[in-house]
Amino acid sequence: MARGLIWALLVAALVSVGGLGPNVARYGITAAIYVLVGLSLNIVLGYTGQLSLGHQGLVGVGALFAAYLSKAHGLPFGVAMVVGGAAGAVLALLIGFVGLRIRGLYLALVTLVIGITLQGSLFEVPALTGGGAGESANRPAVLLSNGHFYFVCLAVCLVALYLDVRLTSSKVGRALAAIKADERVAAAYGVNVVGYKLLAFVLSGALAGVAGALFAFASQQFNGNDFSFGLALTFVLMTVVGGAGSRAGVVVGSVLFALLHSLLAQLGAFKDFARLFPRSVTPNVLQFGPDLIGAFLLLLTLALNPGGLAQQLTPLTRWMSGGSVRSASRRGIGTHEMEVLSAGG
Amino acid sequence: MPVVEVEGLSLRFGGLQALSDVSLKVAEWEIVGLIGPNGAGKTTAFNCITGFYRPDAGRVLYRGSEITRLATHERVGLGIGRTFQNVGMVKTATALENLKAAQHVHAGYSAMAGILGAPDSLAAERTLTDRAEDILELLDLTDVRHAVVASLPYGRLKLLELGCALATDPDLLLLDEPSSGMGPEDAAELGDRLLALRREFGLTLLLIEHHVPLVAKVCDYVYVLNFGRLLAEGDPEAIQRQPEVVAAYLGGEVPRDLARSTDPGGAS
Repeated sequence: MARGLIWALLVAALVSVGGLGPNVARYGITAAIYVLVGLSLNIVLGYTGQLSLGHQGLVGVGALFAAYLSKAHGLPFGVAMVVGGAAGAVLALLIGFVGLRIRGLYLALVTLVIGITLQGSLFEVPALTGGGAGESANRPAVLLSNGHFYFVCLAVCLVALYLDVRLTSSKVGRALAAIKADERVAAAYGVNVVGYKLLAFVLSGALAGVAGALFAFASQQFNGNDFSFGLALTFVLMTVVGGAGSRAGVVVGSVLFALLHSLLAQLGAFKDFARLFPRSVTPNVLQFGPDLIGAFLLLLTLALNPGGLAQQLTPLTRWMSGGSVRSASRRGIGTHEMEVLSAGG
Repeated sequence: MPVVEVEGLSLRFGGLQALSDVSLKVAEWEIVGLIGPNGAGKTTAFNCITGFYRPDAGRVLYRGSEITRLATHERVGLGIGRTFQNVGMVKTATALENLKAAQHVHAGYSAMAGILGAPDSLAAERTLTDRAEDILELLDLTDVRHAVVASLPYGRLKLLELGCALATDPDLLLLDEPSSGMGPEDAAELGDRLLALRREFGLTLLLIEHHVPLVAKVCDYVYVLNFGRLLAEGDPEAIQRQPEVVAAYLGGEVPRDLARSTDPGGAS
């Protein structure tokens, strides 16, 4: 009964975000896109145990192709979304081929370089991106209002969540978990380790590409500068702080970081805090505040809370999904991410 | 036709000749022991048979066809299952989840169907769960069904790992020190279990084992490895009487009196 009420309130809150004016809807859109990226990164990092520091490249490629093809070739919105997903999947496949041979910090390094290189090369091609001003990505008339566009983003999120649930409760999720735990064990269980690693990258890339397409249509333009390395770091932070490997944790972490970045700068208390610093430093504090808070949260997570927010949320999510609050935690999530981040896997 | 046949296997790691010209075969329904001192190359031989290592020379034949270059998961698909010396399971998952994961090859639906939640994949999942439950029951492990693997005591871990290997539905099962960490009583029980498994599932078994009474009890034939070479082979009784085998275990030259006085009972 109480459970149903909480669910109803949650649904009501999600729906009402679309009806509280363009500004609130705008935050909703950003949060939904971050959730998609979080779920995407979670497949690679949380389920399969491979650290990617180039996810902004996958999101960017999705945004670029969706914007370019809808502007230059008049592709309809829905098709542009699919193209964005396909572009992300293809790039992820290429990264995946590299990821088969290396792991841990070296894979992280390669993905980092790919992401940064894309930003400096493909994302700067004037013919594709409309030069420094950015390529425009116009929404169809019916989605011009942020409220309507928010519902599209929400719907995509729900589809992604459904697929994620199916993935983790099918042989695919078990195969990825085995690869993360020990590739020899996965092979002995009959898992095609190479194939499933590639699959994880491709699924992750497709999801990131779709998120990128939504990103382009949300800001109605593609601008290569939006996809800097800092964004990739934010994606990793929100996934790890939320609790890599945990769907609910990653969703909460992604929303938190999306709002942290878009809301903090407007928070009165934070502006007052920034004014405590010397006048010349105030703008820097305002600009880098969210990053500093993110880094601080990461330290807290690694030192005290390796399972991320999910570790604290477990009783709640268990109860919300119909289980008992008291049953013991079943998974030791997070420890592997710690190893990857601290020792290089 | 032997189930598995290894011909002239050689493998070198840097300066270490891990295997040199090792040949062995296991016939249908046989339980064959692979023994030898630490570092003799037993696990390396397992890794060549299961596809974790590619030998420098030699061939591995499974039911007459060459599998030397097949990937591990392809060999699992053919019916070659294995366990690991230090227990190989997904430690953060539960016993039931591991048993379902190990049925990967026989899941009966495609990865895409699983991600999309196709109806036949949901039905297949129930079959996988039922089969996992059957294995838990068979091995008296139903009480740890939902226990996280990392929380289990060593003896039960080894047993559960055997269950996971069975879940891959093998014809040929390679067990790497199945009795390690067990006392004499548990090891004797394990012996009965292996014999029962052979009877019920028609399994062919190749096992690396140090526990001599267990080898003597279950093995039809034994190969002895030492420094990567085949030192001796024969039935367990005969092997225990061979002075060079005793010397390999104790180290150094064969002491003359020991060679003469060693009898089947005394070697254990």
